[in-house]
Amino acid sequence: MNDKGQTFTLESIVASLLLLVVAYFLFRSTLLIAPQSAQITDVQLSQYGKDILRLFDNPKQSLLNDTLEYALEHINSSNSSTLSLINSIKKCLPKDVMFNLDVYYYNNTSILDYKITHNIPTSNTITVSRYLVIDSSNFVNNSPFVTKTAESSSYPVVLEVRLTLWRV
Amino acid sequence: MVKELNDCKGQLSLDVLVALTIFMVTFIFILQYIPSIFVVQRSDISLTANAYRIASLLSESPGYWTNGSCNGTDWENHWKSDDVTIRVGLSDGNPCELSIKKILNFSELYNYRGYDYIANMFGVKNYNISIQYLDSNSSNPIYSYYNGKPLLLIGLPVPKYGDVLRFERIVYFKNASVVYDITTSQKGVNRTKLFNVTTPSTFLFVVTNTSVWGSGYGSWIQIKVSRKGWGGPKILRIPSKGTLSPGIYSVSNLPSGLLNLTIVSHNLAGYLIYSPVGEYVAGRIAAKLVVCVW
Repeated sequence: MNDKGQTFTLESIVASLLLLVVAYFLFRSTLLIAPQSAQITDVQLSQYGKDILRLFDNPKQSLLNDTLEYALEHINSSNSSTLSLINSIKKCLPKDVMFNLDVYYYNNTSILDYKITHNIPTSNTITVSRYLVIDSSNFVNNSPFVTKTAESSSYPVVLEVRLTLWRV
Repeated sequence: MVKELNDCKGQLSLDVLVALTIFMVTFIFILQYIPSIFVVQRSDISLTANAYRIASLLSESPGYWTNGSCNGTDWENHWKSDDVTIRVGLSDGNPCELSIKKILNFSELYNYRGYDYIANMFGVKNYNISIQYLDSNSSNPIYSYYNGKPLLLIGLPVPKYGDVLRFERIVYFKNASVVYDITTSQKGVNRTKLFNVTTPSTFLFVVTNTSVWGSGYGSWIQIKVSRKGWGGPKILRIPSKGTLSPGIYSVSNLPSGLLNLTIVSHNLAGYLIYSPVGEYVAGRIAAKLVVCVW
């Protein structure tokens, strides 16, 4: 009897088991599926943000104090005027979604950030933005968005409103 | 010629047989297992895309109709014709600004043509499409009502278990509110307005002046709420004590169901904004379009 090669049986069994285990863990892994599940959450958050900015951008009703136009036009050092806006945005979002609202503006030298809310976000956030063009004469005195040199004249002011959303 | 008995040439060795068996078992297992992984994933992706696509089409597009020679976006005026092909959209022109007329026709189309017609239109098997209040959620849905019926609620009931993809859009309506004057023009005479409503509904009082009769009279709004089965009316007062100041006041704590309301205004100028379909936000009547597929 030729007994050579008998150990190959054990090797092949071990190799096959290894193949099985590797294949099982590779395809069982949720890594392939998890990004798809996360994407829909991100898409939903992003869509909430876009819809909310569209809803609150209502220049025809700028006298109502929860529109973006009213809130931004009435901000100055002594008056924040944004409480109604913040409460109305909260009303539109599910209870497990938090947000921050920032306004980016140009003061003739650099782009600055005016923070309306100061919540602390988690590491996974979605940011959407919308540009508003408001006549400088509509702003109250000492508005941070109107440059001092041109305060008396009327000119368009471009503001970028950024809404950052995250789930808690 | 006699073959020698101890000649082992040409015979398969045991290790080859075992290895081949294990290889085949592994191969068959993987062949069966891999497609099942991708089937699950494809289904997930497909549901996500379907929910997003239906919500986007309904909220951002005014829809489309054609009969081969003519076409347009006012499908709500043509869907009853047999030779017309339509794709429903609810937008009134601007994204997320919905038309009440299109929504009512969508409900009527569903009732007239059936579940499968809408399923085929959007390429889905199981769906539920509705318009709900902003604070509504899957465990406690609060539907928008119009003339005593849900404004839009079509499809199968959403299953409590299993893979259900839900996608929401925040929308607002064109011409969905009615404005009533509540100014008390005649000195000493209150103004009264009666409503039969199904709540939830939005009642928003915009008070512009509180001294139309002069100072010293006080200003207030009283809401008498009656319901079948109640012994007598419940009375809400704005403000609960003292006198009103100019501003915007909403009534949010009305009980749900069919109610009779009597609204009395006293010594003020202003108006009442009433809407049964959504909440008053930033000068618009807003709600949620909710699409569920599974």
